[in-house]
Amino acid sequence: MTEFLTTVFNLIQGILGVAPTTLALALPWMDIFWAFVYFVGAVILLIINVIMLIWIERRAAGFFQERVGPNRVGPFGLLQTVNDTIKLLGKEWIMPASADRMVFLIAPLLVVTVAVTMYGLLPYGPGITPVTLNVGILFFLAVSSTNTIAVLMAGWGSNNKYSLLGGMRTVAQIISYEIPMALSIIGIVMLSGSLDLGEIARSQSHVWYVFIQPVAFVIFTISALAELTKSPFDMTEAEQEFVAGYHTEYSGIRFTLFFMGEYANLFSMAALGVVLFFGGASGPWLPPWMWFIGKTYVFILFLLWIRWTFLRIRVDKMMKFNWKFLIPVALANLLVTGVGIKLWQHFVERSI
Amino acid sequence: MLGVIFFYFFAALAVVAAVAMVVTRNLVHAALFMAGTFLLIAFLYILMGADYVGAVQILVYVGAISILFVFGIMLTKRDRIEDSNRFNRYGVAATIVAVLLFAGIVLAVLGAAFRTVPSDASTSTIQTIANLFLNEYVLAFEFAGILLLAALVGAIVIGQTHLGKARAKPRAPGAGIEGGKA
Repeated sequence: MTEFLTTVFNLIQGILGVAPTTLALALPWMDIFWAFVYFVGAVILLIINVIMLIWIERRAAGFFQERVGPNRVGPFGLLQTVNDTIKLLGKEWIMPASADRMVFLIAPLLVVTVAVTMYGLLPYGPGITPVTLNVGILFFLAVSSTNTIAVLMAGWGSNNKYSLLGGMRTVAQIISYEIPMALSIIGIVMLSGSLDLGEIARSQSHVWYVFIQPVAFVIFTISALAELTKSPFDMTEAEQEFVAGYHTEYSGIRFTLFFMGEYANLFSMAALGVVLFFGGASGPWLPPWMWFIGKTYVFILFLLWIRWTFLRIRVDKMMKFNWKFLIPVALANLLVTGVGIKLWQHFVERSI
Repeated sequence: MLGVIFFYFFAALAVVAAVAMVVTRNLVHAALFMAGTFLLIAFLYILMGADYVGAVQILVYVGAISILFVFGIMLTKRDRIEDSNRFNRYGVAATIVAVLLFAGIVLAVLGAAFRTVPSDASTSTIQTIANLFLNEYVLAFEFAGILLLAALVGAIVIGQTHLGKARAKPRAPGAGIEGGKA
């Protein structure tokens, strides 16, 4: 099975590598061709991922809550998501009469655009990083923060007080939790000496950063859950408070796009965690990209475990927890890391 | 070649978005157009090989736009949001100022002696920036940090005193008619 997949991958790579030269395309067109190939690849990966993730989440939720979960459609209920998607696509598109038309319509597209862009930055393995950037991690955070605008647009465009409140709360939450996340990542950047995601993954060939930076890992996991607006931080979808938050008014394929964006972000955030703390695509025997996907899915299961175990916390306590606990701890961790690196350089590296 | 096409494409879009931001009557739409302008300018930076500046542009301004959006919604006290941007009614004055500013910029650009630097996209820009920040411009860098810290502390103090006053003087029933007694 493994060898078969590797062969198929090599074959595709070979065909794609040869095709443009045999067609004698000019250089700029080749760039466009490759951009298109990566784009299609990212979209396919996104759709497969979302379908798998929804199934995994529902089965995992069943497991954690001691019930069965969807197991009727196809083997192990694998086709449940496909069925649900077809059902969602067949539903009527409803737009509130007083909605802000363009803003309402663009918001779901923007969510998916952001998700696809983030897929393009991840190092899936040596040679299969779609876009290698010097400032990869910074660009990743920048792109993921544009999600807040899409959420606000959806909340505002719906012209519904529940949607707007949900959108505003999401923005407050995401912007606040971006700070401890960035601070926890700075420690990793200091250790690896690079902002390039591939380089950070490669610099962990001896020891994974999760063992050197355990505090940063805990902070990263908590703020990742908050960034993804997953329970215990799912303020945006607190049903008792405001129906379904910013996507209350969306139906049919537009709701599907929001749903897709949410799960796509779950994957890319977990993949970022794997790159930062678990050595990225490195591992024995199997091809690197399989290690990458495998580690990412294990990390996703870990996040889901937290999600389905803890209860939602109150919104003011969530903010207090961030500003009065998480950020000071992250800053202290940063200080310790900096001093530690200097001491290491001074005493250990010089004596070797 | 491709870079040039993309440059003109993004530049034209950025100008369109900037004009739309000024012209639109809806404050929320104006904020969104502003976000679009900033994003397109970030694309231009990345196109020029300044990927660090581009990433920071997105990181800083997009967060700022979200905040601006929220304030735009919260501070607008007009009933109709479609008519909330009241500052685009002064067409003549705005045109004069814009033309003067544009003429000034054109004069400055034409008069400036630009150096042609060979593009060196392969090397990392971050290390250079970090070295400049922590060696040559370390004083300015630290001052900017202290300034921001002072602003942060000041904002917290102002917020707290308002809270303290509200708590120190609970409005007892009948407290509002003191003036009436006199």
